[in-house]
Amino acid sequence: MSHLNKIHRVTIIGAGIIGLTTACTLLKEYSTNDNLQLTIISETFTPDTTADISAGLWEIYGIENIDEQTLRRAGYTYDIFLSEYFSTKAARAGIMKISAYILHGYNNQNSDEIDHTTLVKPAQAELVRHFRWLDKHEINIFDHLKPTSGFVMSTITVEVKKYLLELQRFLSQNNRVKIIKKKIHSFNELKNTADVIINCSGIASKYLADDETVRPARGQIIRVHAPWIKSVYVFDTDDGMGYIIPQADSVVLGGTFQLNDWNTNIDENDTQKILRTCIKCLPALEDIHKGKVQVGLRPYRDNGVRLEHEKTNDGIDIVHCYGHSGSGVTLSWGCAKDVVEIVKTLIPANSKQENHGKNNISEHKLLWRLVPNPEHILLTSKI
Amino acid sequence: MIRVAVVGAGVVGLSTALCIKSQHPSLSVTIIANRFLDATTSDGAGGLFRPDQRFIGGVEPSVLKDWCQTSFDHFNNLIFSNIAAEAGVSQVSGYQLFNDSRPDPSYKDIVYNFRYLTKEELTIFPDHYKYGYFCTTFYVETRKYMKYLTKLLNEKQVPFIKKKIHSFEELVENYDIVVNCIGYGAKDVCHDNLIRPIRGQMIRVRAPWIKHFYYTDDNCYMIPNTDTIVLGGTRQLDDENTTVDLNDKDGIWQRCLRLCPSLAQAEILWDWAGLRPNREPIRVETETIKYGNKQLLIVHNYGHGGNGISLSWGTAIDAARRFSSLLNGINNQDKQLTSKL
Repeated sequence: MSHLNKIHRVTIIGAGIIGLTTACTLLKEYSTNDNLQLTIISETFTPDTTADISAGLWEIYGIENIDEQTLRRAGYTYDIFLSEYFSTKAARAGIMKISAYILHGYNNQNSDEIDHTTLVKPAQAELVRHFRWLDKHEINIFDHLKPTSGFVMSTITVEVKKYLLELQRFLSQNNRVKIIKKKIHSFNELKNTADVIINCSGIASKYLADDETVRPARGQIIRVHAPWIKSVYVFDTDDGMGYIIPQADSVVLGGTFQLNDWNTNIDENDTQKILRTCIKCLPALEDIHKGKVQVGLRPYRDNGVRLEHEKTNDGIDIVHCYGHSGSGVTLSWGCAKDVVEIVKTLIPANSKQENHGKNNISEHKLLWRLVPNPEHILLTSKI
Repeated sequence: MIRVAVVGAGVVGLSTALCIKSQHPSLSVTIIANRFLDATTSDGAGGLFRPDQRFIGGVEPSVLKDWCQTSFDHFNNLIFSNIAAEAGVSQVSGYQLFNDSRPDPSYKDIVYNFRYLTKEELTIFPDHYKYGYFCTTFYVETRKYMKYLTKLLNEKQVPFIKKKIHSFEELVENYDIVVNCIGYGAKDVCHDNLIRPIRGQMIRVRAPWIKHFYYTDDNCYMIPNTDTIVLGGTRQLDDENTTVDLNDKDGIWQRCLRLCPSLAQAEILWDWAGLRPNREPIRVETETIKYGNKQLLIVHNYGHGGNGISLSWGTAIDAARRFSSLLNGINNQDKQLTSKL
């Protein structure tokens, strides 16, 4: 049988933000490979994945060592999301451009003069649009918090629930894709059904990949209805760090970052702490009495994201992509690109790619498209 | 006993009445207007604070600066107070995009941060604009803000009377001082030819994923309010038509959609058309009018054009200051009279 006719079976474990984004990138890079079969197997799907609970803010968060690789992946992801903002996809997929105020310190702990030459520019400053340090006049608007320094930047928030739903819809209408709800306990289970496994199982990799360096970083948040808030605020108070992140239909108040804490139940103390800190930043939040409290476990990993190829003793090809901590959304497209580059060394992509169209079509349009709502189609067909 | 009538219940009328009543709590202040709340011109405003000297003719720069800074400080305090949501004010950032070079707007030092966009930053927009600026300011959602002002006035027991005034002579019997916040009505009531309507139309939509404001040169703007976005607009000088024009609506929709294609998913809520009461200069001054052997003291505060919300508080404070002077004048006269006895 000729090499080109052989069926290549790829299985992605995990249908969270990393898994689905990787699936889309795979389909794009193998767009003319009819012999590619993609199976997505996951125990959970949106709205039950880890990222569904998050505020979906693009920001490198929860990763200790921000290296060149991380910056490159984050920057690529930022550009993709930003270009989608002005498209028709934005509304359906919950992709929003927003200004973010990141404030450091409280109660004027340092000197009065803000010397920008001594302030260390955050690594992500080079990746975003409109980064700028806040000057004294601007810091003073947050007088009630009295931060010592701060910056503002344009970033993106992604309403993960809406976004994953759209990606899922897009993937399921491709006839090379199969989506299965199932929990995988060992890579061996897929030995005979997959040529390449892509492991996007997030925190489950601790057991699945036997990775001791994966640890939960517990996060609790409160989702409230506060539509007058139009910017992101991340700030410090004497009660700890807080953040206020608007999404399309709700505002996420947070947060906590509790390493090694597996507790997925709501902690009332955390709820009160979140409310206290956020009210310090925007006192009008005092009037909010209803909110949805949620808990999630960020897949933290000691040495950062694991993105590499492994050939197990049993000869199984696995490409790992897990351990994104609080930066799943932030690194999604960038990591997906790198994963698929590795897959291409294992399964050759068809060299006859449709290059003629590619130069005019923007990257984000090639990665995924809006699929018409099936209910809408049914309605119009009745007329 | 001095009796005061504030004529007009738009954002300027309510603000001025509030300033005056707050400064003189025992004074009798009544608000008389033909239209209230949603029926006022103020209701159509997008409420974005950006008072640019270029569009506010005839006002002395130092006076305008004072009005702007006073208004800004007032709203700024509200934003970080616990009644921000009730009052309908919040910070919002956004862009102004254009193709010609022009002087910096006069509000640039008053708003939170103002800066030019770099060439690279300009490339994220669908059309190609040569220049642009980004700034952080705030919006005031008129419906909420007017309800909030009305609540404060009710708490101070200021009565509201619904009545259309055709001439101030109607008030001379029952009032001593009239605070005139009548807006475009001044054309007839005050025979003021300096006031000219600039017609504006807008569409209110629900598009909660939009968190920035946008202004471009070709009469296109998008201003987020609490739950809605205001899409605009038009600027038709001397056009007195207050009914919604479908051609205008189409134009606004197409222009905004071009700038932000995701609007295709927006839910359209309602359309509105109204007349910006434009005057060069905005009239904040006192006047005395005699009707037979009676006289009426007037404090004028009208003609704010498209900057009614932005300058409401600053001009209200200015008008209240002039009002206090008038009041002192009356009291001094009384003192002189009694001292002669």
